[in-house]
Amino acid sequence: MLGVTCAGLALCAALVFGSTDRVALRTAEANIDFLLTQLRDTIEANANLGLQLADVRVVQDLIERAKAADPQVVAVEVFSPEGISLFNTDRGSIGEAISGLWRTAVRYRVENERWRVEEFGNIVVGQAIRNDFGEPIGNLAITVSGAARADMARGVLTGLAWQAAWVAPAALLAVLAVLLVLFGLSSRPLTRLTERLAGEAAPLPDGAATAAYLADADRVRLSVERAVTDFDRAAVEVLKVDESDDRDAA
Amino acid sequence: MTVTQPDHASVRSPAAIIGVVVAIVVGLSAWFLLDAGLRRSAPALEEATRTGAATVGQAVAGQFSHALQLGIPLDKLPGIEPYLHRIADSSPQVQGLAIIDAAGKTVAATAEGVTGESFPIAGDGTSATLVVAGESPLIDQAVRQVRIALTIAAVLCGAVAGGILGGFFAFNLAPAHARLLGDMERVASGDFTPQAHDEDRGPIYAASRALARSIDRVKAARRNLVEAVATIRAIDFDGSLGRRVDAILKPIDSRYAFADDRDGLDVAAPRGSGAVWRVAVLLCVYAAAFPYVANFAIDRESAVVPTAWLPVMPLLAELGAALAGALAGRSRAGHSSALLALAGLLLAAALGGTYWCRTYDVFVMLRAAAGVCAGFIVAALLVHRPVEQSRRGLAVLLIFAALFAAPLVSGLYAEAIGRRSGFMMLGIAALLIAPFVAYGEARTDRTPPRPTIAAATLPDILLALATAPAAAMVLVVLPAGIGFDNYLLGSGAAALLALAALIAPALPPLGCGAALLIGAAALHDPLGNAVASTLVACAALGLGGGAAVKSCVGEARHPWFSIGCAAALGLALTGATSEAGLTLALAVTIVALLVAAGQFLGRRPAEPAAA
Repeated sequence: MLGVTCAGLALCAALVFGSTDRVALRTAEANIDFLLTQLRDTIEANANLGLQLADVRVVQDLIERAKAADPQVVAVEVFSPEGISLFNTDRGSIGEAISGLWRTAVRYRVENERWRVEEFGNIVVGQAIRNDFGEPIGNLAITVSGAARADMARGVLTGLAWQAAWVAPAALLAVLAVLLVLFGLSSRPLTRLTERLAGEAAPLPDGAATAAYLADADRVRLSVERAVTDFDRAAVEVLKVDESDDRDAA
Repeated sequence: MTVTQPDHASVRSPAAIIGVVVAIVVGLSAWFLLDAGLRRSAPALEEATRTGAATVGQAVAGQFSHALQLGIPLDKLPGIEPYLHRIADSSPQVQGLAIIDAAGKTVAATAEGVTGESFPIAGDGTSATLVVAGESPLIDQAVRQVRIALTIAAVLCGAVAGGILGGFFAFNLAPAHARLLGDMERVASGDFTPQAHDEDRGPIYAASRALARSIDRVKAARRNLVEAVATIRAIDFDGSLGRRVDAILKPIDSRYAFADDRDGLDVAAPRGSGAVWRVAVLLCVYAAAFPYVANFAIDRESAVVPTAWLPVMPLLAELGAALAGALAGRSRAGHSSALLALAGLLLAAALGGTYWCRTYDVFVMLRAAAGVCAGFIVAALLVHRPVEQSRRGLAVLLIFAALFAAPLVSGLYAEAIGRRSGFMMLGIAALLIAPFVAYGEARTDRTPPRPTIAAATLPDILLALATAPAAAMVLVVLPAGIGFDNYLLGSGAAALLALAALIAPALPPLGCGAALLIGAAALHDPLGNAVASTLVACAALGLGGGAAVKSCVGEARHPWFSIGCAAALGLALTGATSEAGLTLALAVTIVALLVAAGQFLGRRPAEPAAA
């Protein structure tokens, strides 16, 4: 029972931590969501003029302005369907291939064409950029700092640990106390039965169950006493057989 | 007159009390923990929400400023309100938006009286203000969801605690209690053959010992008599004394009975139900992965497996592997506790290893490994270890462990730590229970029965058919359906199915078929609400399957094989109907009709009394 209670408390703590962490992640994603949609719409509007994505030079300005507007944004990148960086707020990375983690995420992107990875403690959210014919012509990825989320996670863990320091012992003590009381109450008839069988005392019945058990114990004791008496008497009679034979002989 | 019999109410009440107490204690503790978590996280979350709302405000204000710079006055801009509504609807951190001109007049708003942070709109000599009312529906929704999850966790803990205590009473204490009272009855009637039972503990053990000591007094008196008789017979040269002694002994011999004349307390061979508990614990951990498997599989790509079979293949491979493992487990290899421990460790590795698994093929192999290990352990425990439980009692315990407790635990943990970490958690749990599973109780020396190849009977077939839809629902439909992005809902639905199976009475085939038909109808979504319809379908399919288990498992020749076939059939139906573009409801309807037809193929009345 104490193990189940411990497991339950651990589960509850995990649920609270997981829930707060998830809501922090979703809040961060929701914040990126608007920025991502705005940027993508603008880039698609430019690309739909008939230019190749790599030739839409205004994209570099757009992503740099987006990064500058939000201190939480660590990087913004536009890369080709082949995974080659076309525009990047880190200009030195233009022309480089994206990481394998990003490739996997893009390949297994789910609803709304969004994909998400967590990398080096930061959150990267991406979305496909499509032309007028619905063909993917590239991807837009925004990296947001995970520092605030990490700080919050540490704070929640600390808070949970302090709370658990008194909640867990109190919970275990409560369950233990109830268990001991229950055990004592439920075993009382059997304890009385044992005492009566052992003949150690003559306890008074303190309940219907105890009374029934004591009656049973009395029947057992009666049977035992009768048997012992019978065997003792028989032993005496058997030994007397020899004595009576001697008397007859005399 | 007979001795008192064990009181079932007195057995159930402590289980119910402890269940309620644990649920309340865990619930209260959860409330305190949630309070601490929210106190620490709320400021950061609210700040993040404010930042998000500000980003939206700046961007929208920028758009309107751009329009003003182009010389378009705000009151001439078409579709401002729909635009603001669209922004508010697509931005979870924004509750409402309003544009107020320089004179303080509201130009457009998503609602009356929008208040909040202001963002200036300026251009072409005109100015206005965009007001953004921020909100945190994400936080509210998350708190609501975690409250539900914590309530379920508390109730689950109470159910498991009560179930463990109830099971302990039912499987261990009640038999020992009944044995003690039976022994007392025998002693009261002059039969002194009862022996102390060494596996009993606590007050029953003490009472059993006290009874044994009473018997010892009689044995001592009898020993005195035997010695006296031996003395007389030693000097009985003509047999005359013996005849007189026999006359004295005759009434006593007929009145009392003894097992033998050994001194001291005799100890009966242990009769245990430990293997049942070990199987239940193992299945609870093993089956806790079921809500993740199909869910995990459909997120992986395979070059060879068609999309319709993606969630099914790992489970089919696992099932085949479990059968192979079970065959190995029932052989002599199942005797070895070391092999059992090794299988437990491999199971832990297969479960925990999924944390690092990225590809479909590796995932199938990991599931097959988990299946072979679980099959080996379960067969080894049930065949080579003492099991005193009836098939039906065992089936009920296993339904509770594998289909009720397991999905709820895994659903809650997936909510808390995610699917991949959930696999890791299960691996750790399997690692922790491996020693208990392997070395929990001595094995029996009995030779396991040889595998029979007798033809399946009607109960076998009914069992396989009636439980197949429930298997399909638990293994594929829920994890890949409503449980895909809401583990708690999927797991709750699986637990509802199990609950229906547990409370289902034993029904004849017609009743089982009717329940399955209701389930098939519910799969058509007659309520117009996918979640509600799925829950109704789960309850009906659980009822049909549970009723079939209770009425057939005792009479079937190969009950466990039939249940394995049910899982295979359920998986095959799911894959085949999906591949063919048909609905699973159609397949379930056919199965239901086949089950109902069983009523007329062979009369096999249900056992309402045993229900």
